[in-house]
Amino acid sequence: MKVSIKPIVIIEIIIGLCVLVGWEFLNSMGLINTAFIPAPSSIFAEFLNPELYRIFFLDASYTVSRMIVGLLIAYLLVLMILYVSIRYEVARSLSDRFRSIIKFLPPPVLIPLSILAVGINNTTVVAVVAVTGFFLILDYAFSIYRKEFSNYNQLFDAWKATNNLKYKDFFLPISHYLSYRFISTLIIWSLSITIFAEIITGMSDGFGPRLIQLQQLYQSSTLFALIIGILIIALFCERVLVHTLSRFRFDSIRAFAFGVVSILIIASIVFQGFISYGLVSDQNQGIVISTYPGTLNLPLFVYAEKFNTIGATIQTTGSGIQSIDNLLAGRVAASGYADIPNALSAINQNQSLKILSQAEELPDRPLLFFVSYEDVSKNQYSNLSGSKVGYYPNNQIIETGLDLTLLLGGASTGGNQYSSGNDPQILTQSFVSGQLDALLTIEPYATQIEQQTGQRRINPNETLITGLQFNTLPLAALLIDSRQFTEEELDAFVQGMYDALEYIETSTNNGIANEDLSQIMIQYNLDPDSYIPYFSYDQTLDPKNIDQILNLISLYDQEIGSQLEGLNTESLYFVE
Amino acid sequence: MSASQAKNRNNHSLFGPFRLNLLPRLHIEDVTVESQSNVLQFFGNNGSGKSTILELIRQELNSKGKNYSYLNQDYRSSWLWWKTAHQNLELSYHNINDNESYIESDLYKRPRSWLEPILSEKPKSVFFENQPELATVQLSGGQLQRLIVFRELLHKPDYLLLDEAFSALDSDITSDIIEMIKHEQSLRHFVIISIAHSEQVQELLGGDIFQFEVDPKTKKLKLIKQSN
Repeated sequence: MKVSIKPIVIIEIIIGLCVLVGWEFLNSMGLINTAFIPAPSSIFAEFLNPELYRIFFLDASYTVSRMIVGLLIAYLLVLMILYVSIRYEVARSLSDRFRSIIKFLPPPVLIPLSILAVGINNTTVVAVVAVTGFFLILDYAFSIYRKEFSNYNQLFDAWKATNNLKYKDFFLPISHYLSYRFISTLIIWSLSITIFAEIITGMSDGFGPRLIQLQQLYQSSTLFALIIGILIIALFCERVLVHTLSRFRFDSIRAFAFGVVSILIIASIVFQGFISYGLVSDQNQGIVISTYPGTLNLPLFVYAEKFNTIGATIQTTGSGIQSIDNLLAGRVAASGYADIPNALSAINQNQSLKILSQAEELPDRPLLFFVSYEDVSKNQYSNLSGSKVGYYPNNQIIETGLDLTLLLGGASTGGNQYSSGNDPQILTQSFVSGQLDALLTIEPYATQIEQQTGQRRINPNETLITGLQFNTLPLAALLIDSRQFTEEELDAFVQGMYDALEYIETSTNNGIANEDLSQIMIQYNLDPDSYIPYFSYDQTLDPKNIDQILNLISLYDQEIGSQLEGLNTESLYFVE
Repeated sequence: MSASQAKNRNNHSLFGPFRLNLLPRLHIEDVTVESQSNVLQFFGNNGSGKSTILELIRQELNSKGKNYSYLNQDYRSSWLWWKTAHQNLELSYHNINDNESYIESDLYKRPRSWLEPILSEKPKSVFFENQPELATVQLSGGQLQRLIVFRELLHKPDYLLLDEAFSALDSDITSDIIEMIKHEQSLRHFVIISIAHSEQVQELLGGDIFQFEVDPKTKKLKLIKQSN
C-alpha cells in the first residue's frame, strides 16, 4: 500500500501547533513555572532580538572552533595510526586492543588530566575534544576495518595490492562514504564534551559559560532560544560533514560543503592560534603570569603595561584558583593574587612556589565589600537571619568571620546558608539574579552589582568583618615559581612592581582612577568606576608579616592536616 | 591430492602433490584429482567441502605468487562500489600495467556492445543514508557481475577461480557472461576452476567435473565421481 506523505505532514503540523497552543495556554494560566519553562511566544520573541544573534554567533565561534580544532587533531592522529595499522599487523593488533579497552573510558574524566597537563586555557578544551574525538573516530575506523574493508582481502591477494593502494583507494573512501552512520554521534559527543569542558574549566566565552550564565540570571526565554540555536548548529555541523565526506560524487553540494568545512577549519585554526594563549608556545612568550580580573591584581596589570621590566605576559583566567592551576601545571611562572588557603595548598604541593607578595585588609581600607537585598546597615544584620549569603574568596576563614560578624550584628545565623565558589563572576550573577540575599565580594564585582541592582555596599570605608582581625591576616598572595626566575629577573620584577604601586598611588584620587589608569583597567576587564584600594608595601622583612604568615600556616595546618615546610617568603609585602 | 595442469601450460606445476588433510579442521580422504582440461568444476551438496577446497587452492596460488582472479557473488567483496565503473576498470588495469589505461588493452578493443553505455553513464549523486551502495553505480546485478568479470579478465589471470559467481543471476545473463569468459579463454588459455550448483553453469563451462561428498560415517570428504 502506498502511503502518501502529505496527510502525515499535515497531521504532524497540526499536532505540533496544538502542543504549542496548549503550552502557551498553560503558561498564561500560570500552571507552568515560567522561570523553568517560558511561554513559546516569549521564546519566539527572543529570536527577534538582534542582541541574541550577536551573543550566539560570538559563542558559536568559540565553541565550534574549539570543537573543530579538536576533531581535526583527532582525525589526523587516526589517519596516521590507520596507515601504520594497515602496514604492520602488530600495530593493527595493538591499536585494536587499545581501542577495545579505552572506548569504555568516559571522556569527561580526561578533563582534570588535561588541566594538569596544559593548565586552564583554550588548549584544555581542545585537548579533551581531541582525545574524545580520537577514541570515537578510531573506534569507528576499526569497525569499518572489520566489517567492510576486510571483505576485500581476497581481492587484495588476487591484485597483489600494495599497502598504499589499500589505504588510499580502499580504506579511506569506504570509511568516508560510510561515515554518515557515525557523524551525528561524533558531532553530538564532541559538542557535549566541548560544552562540558568549557563549563568545568571556567572558560569566559562559548556556549558552556553562556548557558550557566543564563541559568543563573533566570533568563529562561533566552536560555531556550540558545538551546534551539545550539540544536541548529549541531545539525548544521552534521549536515556539512556528511555532505563533505559521504557524498558519492564531487557535485555542487559537496563542493559547497567542502568549502564551508575548509573555511570553518581554517578560520578555527587562525582563531585559536591567534586569540588563544594555549596554542602559542609558552617558551616564546617569556615569563607568563596568570591571573584574573580583580582590582586586587591592578598592580600586576599596571606593571605589565607600564614597567614591564622582565617582558612578562599576562594571561587572564576566570579565578585565582585557575591561575594557581596553571602555575602548578608549569604553564606559567607566576600567579596573581589568589586567596591564601589555595596559595598555601599550592606551596604544599610544589615547594619551589614562593609567596612574593601578600594582600591584606586594613581596618579603614576595605578590600571586601558587602552587598545585600535586605535592609541592613553596618552592625545591624538582624534582617539577614536565615538568609542565603555568598562570599568570595572561597575560604573557610572568611565564612567563619562573616558568620561571626552577622551574629555580632544581631542576626540569628543558625539558619543561614553560606555559599561560595572559585569564580567571583558566577557569584556576582547569582546575587544579581536573586539567588543570594547577600554577598561579600571584591572589586570590581561590588561596583558591577551596584550598577546592575541599584544596591549600595554596606561598608564603603571600613572593614566589614571585625570578628576576625583581618588586619593581622593576609587575604591573598602573589605566587611565583622560583625555578622560572633568575635572581636578576626577580629583582627587576620586584622593582617594577614598586614602580607600579607608586604609579597607582599618583593616578588615584579618593579611590577613583584617573584617565590613564582607567585605560589600563578597561584593558584588563576591570570596571574603571570601581573603588581602588590603598596599595602600599614594606621593603624590609617585617616581623609582623612573619607573624601573620606563621599564624596562617598554623591555621592551614590545622585545617588541612599537613605540614608546610620550607616556606620561604621573599622580603616584600604589599599591604592594602 | 594433486590437481590438474592445463593443456598447453606445462610451465605451470600448479599444485604439486600435497595433502589437504594437513589442515587440522578438515578431514579429507587422500584423493587425487587429475585433469587434462582447462576447466575444472567442483560439485557437491552443501557442506561437502568444495568451497574449502577452492579456498585452499586460492591460498596455494597466493603463496606461490601466481597470477589469478577470484570471483564470488557478493559485490561487497569484489566491486569497488565507491568508485565509478570506469575507475574500477582503470584501477584494476593500472595495478598490472603502470600508467597505462585499460582502453589500450586487447580485451577492451574487442567490440562489446554492453560496455560503452555503462561507462558513459554518469553515476548518480546520492546519499548512502537513503540508498544502498549498489544504487550509487546505477547498475543491475547482471551488469555489475559482467563488469566484475570483465575487470578481472583485464588483469590477465592464469587462473580464474569462480566461487558460485553466477548464483544470483538469471540464466540469460549467466549464459552471456560465461560466453564472454569462454571466448577469452579460447584466446588466452587460462585455467578456470569453478564451484556452482547450477546445472546450466556446469554445462556451459564444460571441462572436468569432480563431485565430492562427506562420508556420513568417517566425516571425511571424498571424491565420488569424476566426469569428463
